[in-house]
Order: sequence, then C-alpha cells, then structure tokens
Amino acid sequence: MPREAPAAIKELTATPIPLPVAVEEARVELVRERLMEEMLLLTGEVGFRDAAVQEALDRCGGNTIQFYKQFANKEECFAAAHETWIERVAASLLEAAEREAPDWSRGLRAALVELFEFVTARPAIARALLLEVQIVGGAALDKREAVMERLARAVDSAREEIPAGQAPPQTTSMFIVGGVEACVCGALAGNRPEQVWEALPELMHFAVGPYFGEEAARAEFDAAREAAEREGSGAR
Amino acid sequence: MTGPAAPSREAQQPGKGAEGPASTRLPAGRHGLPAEFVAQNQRARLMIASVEVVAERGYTRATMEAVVSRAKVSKRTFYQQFSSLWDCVGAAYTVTSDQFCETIAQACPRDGDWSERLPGAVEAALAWAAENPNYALLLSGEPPATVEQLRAARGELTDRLASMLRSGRSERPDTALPPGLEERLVGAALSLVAARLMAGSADTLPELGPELTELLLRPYRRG
Repeated sequence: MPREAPAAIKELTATPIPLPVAVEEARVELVRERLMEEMLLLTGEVGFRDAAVQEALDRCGGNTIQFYKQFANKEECFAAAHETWIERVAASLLEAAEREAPDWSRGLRAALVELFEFVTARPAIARALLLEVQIVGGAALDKREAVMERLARAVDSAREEIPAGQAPPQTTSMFIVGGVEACVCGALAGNRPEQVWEALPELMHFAVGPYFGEEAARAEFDAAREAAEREGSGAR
Repeated sequence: MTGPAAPSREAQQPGKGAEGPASTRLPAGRHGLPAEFVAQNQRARLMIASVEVVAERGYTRATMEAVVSRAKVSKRTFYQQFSSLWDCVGAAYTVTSDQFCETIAQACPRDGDWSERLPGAVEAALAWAAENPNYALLLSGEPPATVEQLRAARGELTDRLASMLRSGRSERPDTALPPGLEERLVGAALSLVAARLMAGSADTLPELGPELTELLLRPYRRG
C-alpha cells in the first residue's frame, strides 16, 4: 500500500494554486472565444434551431460549468459571438476600403474581395453571421442592423464625388448593402460559397451604377470580369 | 377545387384580408359540409396559422404544436395535410408568393412603356406589404438555410420578380446589361422591405415607393 502523503502536501494539492490574475483572465477569455466560435460554426452547419450547447462543448472540449459561467443560454452565446465576429468582419471590410482611399470604386472592390475571402474561407461562420442571425433575431439582429447601417454610410461616401444634382435616392446605400448581402446569403444557403466570386463583376456594376451611371458601372463590370479571367479561379 | 361550397380564393390565400384562422373556421358540430371543402378549409387555416406563428415566435421557436393549436385542428389533421412544419410554411410561402406576384401583375397596366408601368407595380407591392406585414416578412426575410422547401420557394419568387424586371431591357436594346442584374435588384429590394418590417415600420413602406422605383429604373434608363 502506498504511504499516505504528508498533511502539508495533501493541503497543497487540494487547493488549486491561484494563477496570476492576468493569466486567469486570459484563460477565461480563451475559453469564451472558443465557445463562441464553436457556437457559430455549429449554427452555420446545422442551423441555430438544431445547434445544441452540449455539441458545441464537446467540440471544443469545454464543459457546462464553463459555458454557464459565461452565458445565460444558447441565445446569449450566439449574440455575443455574433457581435464579436461581425465587428471583426466589418472592421476588415472598412480597412480594405480605406486602403484604396480616395478611390471609391477601388475601395468598394477591395471590400467585396475581403468579404468574399472571408465567406469562402469560413463559410459556416459566414452562414451564422449573415443568414442565421435573421432567424435568431433579438440582440444579434439589432447588431446586424447597426453594422449594415455603418457599412451603408461608408458606401454612401460616393456622394462626395458626384454633383449634387445627380445624387441618387437616400436609400441607395442600404439598397446596395442589402443587394450584396442577399447575393452572399444566396450562395451560402445553396452551399456554394465560391459562387460569390462569379458575382463580383455584377455586384460592381450593381453598386457603381446608382452613383456614377451606366457607363462607369459597365467599365467596372468589364474590369472585374477581365481580372477574373486573367486570374483564372476568381477575381482576387 | 370545384362546386359552390369551395372556400373562397381569399380563404385559401394567406394575407388576403385574413383576420386569422377564426375567419375561416367551420361551424361547430356536425355541419354536413363536403369533405373536400373541409380539407381545403383546414389546409388554409393551417397555412395562415403557420405564418402567424413564425411571425410571432420566429423560425427558431415555431412548432407544429403551436400551429395546430392556433388553427384549432388536431395533429392528425395536420399530418393529413402536411408532412412537417416546414412543409406547411413552405406551402404558405408558395401561395403567398403567387398572390404577391398576381397583385403586382394586376397593378401593371399592359400598355405603355415599361418605365411608365413600373411605378404602379412598386406602389402596389409596397401597399400589399404594408397591409400584410407577416406575409411580407415571410417573403422578404431570409429563410433558414437548412429548410430546403423555403429556400426553393424563395429562389422561385426571386426568379419571378427578376423576370418581371427583365422586361425593362427592352428600353435599352443597345446596351448589354449584366445577366444577373435583375436578381441583384430583387435581392436589394426585398432586403429594404425586410429591414422595415423587422424594425416594426410596416406602415412606412409605401413611402419607399418613389425611391425604390428610381433605384429599380436607373439601370434601364438611357443617358
């Protein structure tokens, strides 16, 4: 029989050694991040309705205690995950456009390419962020609306480049953002995310036309199509 | 559907002045109505109830039990009509979509230039959506990606609306517009409508008319 451990050692092993606060916070944040990502992945794969918390936990090696320390329920986890990821995606689109400033059309194309890179690299996450959010509703849906409006404001900066008399309707930018989103949602829903690349020339035409007219729209369409043909697998 | 006892077209079409299932409920007890009439009536009530349940609870919390309870029919009756909740919502989507497209077609005079006919069609579509917000949200909002019936029905609606817009190409026979332009325009228009409906602003939809018409007309306009 093994000898019993001395009392001092037993006491040490029974009490978890406290980690420095910063390390503990980082660990909690890491667990939260993994839980949120798994929830989005699962939602994108099977739909929010059939996404089970336990399945997400099994996938990331977490447990229910960790989950309920962070979130009250599945909806709250989804809303938090959605907010984190949609903010990242929106920021990357705006940065991509900003890099091409002051050329609005180049900025728009760069933002679309950035979006399509994300959609094709992480289709399940994209499906959760863009499609399932409309089904889940609640706080996540409010966040989606706020992000759509922010992107629309960036699109509407095109007005600075056109004479006041030729300005398109006020709802133009929301119309464009909605059209792009509908196109991406269609590709994601059909499990063909790579289709978005084929739509790039049409989307450029669709977005440029209302602000700069058919001639400019046609030029962007031709340029995007030629780039796609040159680069073979897409207009990247 | 034949015979004088058949339910009215309105009763079969969710959203057409529907006041909910009560408006199509059969008399209590033994009524002696033809079986075909009863089945049609129950089917219509179930479709109406499914749209109302989805509007109130969202896709995530909608259940067959809630639909059955609202339609005041048994589960057995439900399964005589539909194989699942999504089969029922999908059928409601298709009937609603038919009615929506018919409303637009009727508002569009057959004569005159396409650009002169479009404003009336847009106006009628938005007025319909404002009067029938639950049904309009069903058509304009993105359905769950995992429900094939709804995705297919949504694709069909997009194709029909895009086909209507495609007539505008006759105004610019000299210009080669991109092949998928109409699908982009329809997606954008539905998205604008869905955003207003989700914000609870259905009553403001008719105000969108002039701007939406302008956005839909722009690609087909000369100069």
